[in-house]
Amino acid sequence: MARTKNIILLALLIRLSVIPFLYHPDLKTQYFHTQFLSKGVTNIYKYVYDNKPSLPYKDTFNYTPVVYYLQGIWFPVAKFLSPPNLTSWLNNWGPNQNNYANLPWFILTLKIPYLVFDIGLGLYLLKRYKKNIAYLWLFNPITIYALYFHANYDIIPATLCFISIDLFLNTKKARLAGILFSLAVGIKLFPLLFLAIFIKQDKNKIINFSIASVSTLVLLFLFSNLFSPGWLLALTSSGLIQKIFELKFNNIPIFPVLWIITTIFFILKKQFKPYDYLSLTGLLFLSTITYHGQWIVWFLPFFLFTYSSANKYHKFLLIILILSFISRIILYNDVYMTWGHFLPLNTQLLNQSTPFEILSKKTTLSLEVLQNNIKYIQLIFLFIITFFYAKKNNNTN
Amino acid sequence: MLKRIIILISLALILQLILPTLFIRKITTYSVDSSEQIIEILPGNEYKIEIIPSSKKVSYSEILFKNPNLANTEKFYVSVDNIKNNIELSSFNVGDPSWLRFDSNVNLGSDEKYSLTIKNPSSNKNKILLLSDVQARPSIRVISKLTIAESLNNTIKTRIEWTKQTSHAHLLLYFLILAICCIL
Repeated sequence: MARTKNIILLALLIRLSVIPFLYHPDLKTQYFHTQFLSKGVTNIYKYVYDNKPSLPYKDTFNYTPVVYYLQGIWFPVAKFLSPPNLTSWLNNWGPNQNNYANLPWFILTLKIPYLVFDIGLGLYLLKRYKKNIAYLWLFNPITIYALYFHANYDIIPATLCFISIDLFLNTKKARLAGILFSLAVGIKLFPLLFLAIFIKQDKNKIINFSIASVSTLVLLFLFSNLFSPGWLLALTSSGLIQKIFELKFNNIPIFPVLWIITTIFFILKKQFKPYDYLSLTGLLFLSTITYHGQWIVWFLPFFLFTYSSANKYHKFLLIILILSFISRIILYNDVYMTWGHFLPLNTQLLNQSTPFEILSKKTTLSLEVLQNNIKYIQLIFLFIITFFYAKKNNNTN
Repeated sequence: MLKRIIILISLALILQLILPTLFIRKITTYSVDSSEQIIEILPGNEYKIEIIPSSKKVSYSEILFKNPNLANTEKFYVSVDNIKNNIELSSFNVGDPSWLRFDSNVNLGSDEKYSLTIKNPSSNKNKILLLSDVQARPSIRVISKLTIAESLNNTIKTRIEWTKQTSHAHLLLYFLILAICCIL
């Protein structure tokens, strides 16, 4: 117990010492829109459409209504905890928008929900699994980068989705699993990629899970304007929907085809283990899609299980994934992938050359092409290693 | 507790001092305010922009602009004067959003400034629309190189300035929370 407390406090200390000084504009754009809930706006999509000319930030709200309500409910609390000019900063899109001495405190208060889910998942892992899995989650730089540098809410659906799958596979709490899964889907659609996990179990579990998840989704629909045309537009133009069809071979989208094949194999083959399927889905996704940095959080808890299994095939794959993740950060020409995040320390960091710009000056290679080639190499390795792993598993069985 | 204090101090040093010092190797200043975002230049006329760099070691200057009214073949001419070593005279094609960079690597005297002169050689009345940067500042940027010592100095100054300006109640509360995490 004392050891658990020490671990959590150390994780908390590391996070608290960096969180206020890490910024990404997505944090501001999301809370710019969600602040309107406390002004009585319930349909943000319509509100933005109707008031576009007078709004200081003109982009549409590209997230689900559940996100609007979650962040909208947190906003008054953050406002209470923050110095007085949080609202002024959220509505300032002019030349001085980053010149707020209280910016670190705004960032810290707005990120508290992410911290709660992050530490909560760490505690859950500590209580239910081997300590090394929780350590990997709590003290792994990729977790901190994806969660706090990018300042996105992906940790909330990722935690709900992971706990839901864990409860479903390893306990009898299928109903609770169903509720958590639907909440995760209501926040972000990616958990739908893992739906096959819930098919390969006994009938009673599946029925309980289905009743709970469908009822939760219906309630979410009823309470949060999920049928609003604005939300449907946001859904179809979302990064996830667009990006899964981006990489094509002979006009055939690679990820959907490979994922469907993997899912069919998983459903038909008894020896295909659930966590292997989850990791493979994640690896396929990250090898074929130009993903946002924070999206790695969706799969990270499953990767930790695979990594801690001490299987050399998986370890090799995950090392390739980490290298490719680093290349994704370096080979993308956006200052907010690297030092731009440290803007609260000094706004001059925004004007420094990105690693992409520095490398571009030193090589004649096209860095965009290089990044795509890395993705193909990762995919080839994924195929080779999966083949050997499956062969070895078959021989063992 | 000692382990946590060591980790906390190391992280604070890395984040607050080492990292900004290593990464801030050039400092950018802006010479035009938002009221002058559109520059109109009559045929044959010149437009002069005075630049007062904040550092003596000017690395380069950049104009980020676009002019949708001009054909790609037309050119503006830009010259730079009042500077010890001449900055290379440049010209540029006008078309889509673009930028012009003057490489300069010169050391200015303590109160020296320099100016850019933009000439419009065409017979049309033309406008340049200065583009805004990520912070919405119209961009005639003067970029000066910093040595490690200058960068460290700049970092320390920025941190002291921030400590003076930020909410002291929040700063104290933050330190209190960190201290509790260390002690418990």
